[in-house]
Amino acid sequence: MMTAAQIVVLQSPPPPSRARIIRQDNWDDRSPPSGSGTGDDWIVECWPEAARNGLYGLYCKSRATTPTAGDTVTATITTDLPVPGILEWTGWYRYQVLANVNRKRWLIELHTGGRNWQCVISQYPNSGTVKYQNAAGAAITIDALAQDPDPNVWYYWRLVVNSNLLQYVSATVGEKTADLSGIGAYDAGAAGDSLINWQFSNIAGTAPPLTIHHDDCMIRRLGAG
Amino acid sequence: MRDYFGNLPIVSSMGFMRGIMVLDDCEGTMTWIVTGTGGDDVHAYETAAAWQGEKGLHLKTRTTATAQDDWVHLQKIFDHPASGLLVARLRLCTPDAAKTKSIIVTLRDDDGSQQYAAAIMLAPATNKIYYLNSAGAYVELTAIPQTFANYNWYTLELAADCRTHKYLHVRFNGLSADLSAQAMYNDAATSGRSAQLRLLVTAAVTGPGEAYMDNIYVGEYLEA
Repeated sequence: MMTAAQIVVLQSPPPPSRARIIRQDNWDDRSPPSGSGTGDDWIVECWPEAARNGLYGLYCKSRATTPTAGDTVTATITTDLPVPGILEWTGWYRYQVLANVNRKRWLIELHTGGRNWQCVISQYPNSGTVKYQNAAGAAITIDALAQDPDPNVWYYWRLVVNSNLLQYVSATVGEKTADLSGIGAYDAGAAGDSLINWQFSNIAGTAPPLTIHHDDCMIRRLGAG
Repeated sequence: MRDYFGNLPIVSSMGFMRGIMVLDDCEGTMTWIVTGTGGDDVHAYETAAAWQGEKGLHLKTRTTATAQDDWVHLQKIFDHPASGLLVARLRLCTPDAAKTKSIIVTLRDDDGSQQYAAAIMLAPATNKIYYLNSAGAYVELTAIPQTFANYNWYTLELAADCRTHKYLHVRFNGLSADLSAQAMYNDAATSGRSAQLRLLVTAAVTGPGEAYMDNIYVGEYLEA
């Protein structure tokens, strides 16, 4: 990739920030997150064809053989829980064949105080619907994020949560952003160590298997909140 | 809601930033969508094509039995930046200008209803530069006179406003042309919504058409 110095030549740089980067993944080192799924041949690997820039991107496929509607594939990144504050998760993704995808989900699990607090954003690409999971565990449609994605287009996403208040702050999918401040996370039950799970959790549609590419993902602590 | 968008990151790789849509130093994996007339065109990252680093993008319309108007075309698809302002910047050179009829760099804006294109055509074989007007015709940019020299690396910049579907400007080899009064070319309807960068090389009478490119960048135009 270009160095920061090269970018300065090309375009004025942004002002400095005190945001702390917890983790960056462009998967050029070919170290994928842990994977899981309903089938025994799901794929969560670093593949060249999944690259937005650079060498590799994260390739998620629900099943390599005999695909079945409703197959799932999940990639999980686990990090330690930073000092409570505003946490931001960003990156890019793209669908291959939209009809193959029932639901794409971005999930943050905050394991703190002995509980597992979940903040979840889900996109249903075939209906154009985007939902969040409320404090009661129900999926609530976010009208402001409604959109019809196209295949092969790289989209940006951003999910911001307050790990101090255990609340959402905002969500961005593609070009649209929704204010979710004050909405509480869902208590998914008892949890162990203080950590964060960041998951891409995907369900195949009626024409499986699904394939979704991810690249240039970053987790930061923006401030105290 | 507090505005956290102002907290842009300090990152080791600028590709993580939201406003950077394409950042290809042509060293990694070739992930462009490629089409062409020849079955033996060249579209690869090669050491001979490097402006900086180890490799650059080598485009050649055909390896054998070249014919006039052979072409090779590359494309990347991405969503629009938050402001709707797009800029493409890249380095390019022609190893043999006389054999290359045209190099066209296009920013395409599909807004969910209509398709719009802002395009710059370099004509190395005839030493001219054109932009694509709103009627779909290429109009010579007399503000940027140019004599193409072989193996001379040029910097090209094309900026467009996807909100108004107008050009912003073109910059090439230290000269600039203000095209803010020019509308992009609206050539078709579409239900899709995306932005695209397209690169097209076409052969002259005595081809093959050939270009080297490096440090290809598309991002949100912040200086407007």
